[in-house]
Amino acid sequence: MPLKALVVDDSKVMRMMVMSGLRKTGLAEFEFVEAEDGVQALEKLKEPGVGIAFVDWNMPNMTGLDFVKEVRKQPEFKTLPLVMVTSEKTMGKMEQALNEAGADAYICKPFTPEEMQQKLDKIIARATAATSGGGFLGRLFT
Amino acid sequence: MSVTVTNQPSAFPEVVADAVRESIASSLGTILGTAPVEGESDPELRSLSRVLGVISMVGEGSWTVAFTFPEPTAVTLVQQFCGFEIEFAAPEMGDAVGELVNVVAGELVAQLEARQIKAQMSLPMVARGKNVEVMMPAGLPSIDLNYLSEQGAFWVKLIAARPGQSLGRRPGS
Repeated sequence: MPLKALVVDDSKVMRMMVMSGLRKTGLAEFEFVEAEDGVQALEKLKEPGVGIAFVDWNMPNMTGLDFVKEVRKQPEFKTLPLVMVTSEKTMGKMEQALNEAGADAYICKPFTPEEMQQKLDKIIARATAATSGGGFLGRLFT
Repeated sequence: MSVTVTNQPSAFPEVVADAVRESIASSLGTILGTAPVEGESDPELRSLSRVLGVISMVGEGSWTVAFTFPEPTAVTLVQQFCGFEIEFAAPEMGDAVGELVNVVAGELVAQLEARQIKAQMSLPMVARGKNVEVMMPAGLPSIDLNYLSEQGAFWVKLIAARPGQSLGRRPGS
């Protein structure tokens, strides 16, 4: 099964920038699945093979924060790594996403591939510790 | 802190204008490598096709920040921001400018918070064309800022809406 990363942003250009940034982080070959808002992203999550999601905050129809909350309600996605990629940079928003909603990491726009790599390294380390070998994520990154 | 907005042309809150200035310097400085600086307006640029990026702040007051990028500035600035070229006439140009404005607005929310002013940003709106400009009710307090950057000149209009009014669409709506 191909390895997939879900990229959720209402801006096509930003989705391209996120995907371009991710390709520079040493990710192994994998597929991107794109969604324009939280509602569409919930549908795309049902595709087999999605192992991580990068989610914008401010989107129409359903915000990234509400998407994260919805995902965490579903038992099969309790441990799916969720990364907020957003221009919201206040401490309050960050805490809301990480502590209240259950996101795993928080990346502020504009971001560099190096920042993205640092966050991913932490997620991988956590996943490795939890599943001895990183499970799905261990296969995503080389 | 409560910010009072009146309909007097001179009453645009200076604390908000300062926050906007710092947000532009900080976020665009990071994106472009060098922070843009305020300078004189170039009348020739006003006749060129342009793209507008508009975003509103809603909270203890309501303010709209409208960026105008003349075509040459828009193309080079967006390329620097995205890391790839986007033609001025391409649909992605609006998308990119919307994101750029969104990033500045994210910094603005943080800058306002640092000044004890709570605000939320709207989703950005974008328009492109010749002589396109933001139309607001007459008499609202506003400030015009002109900027020079290595990517070209651009200008920013700050408008204080009347209490309860906002141009922006809230995220998730």
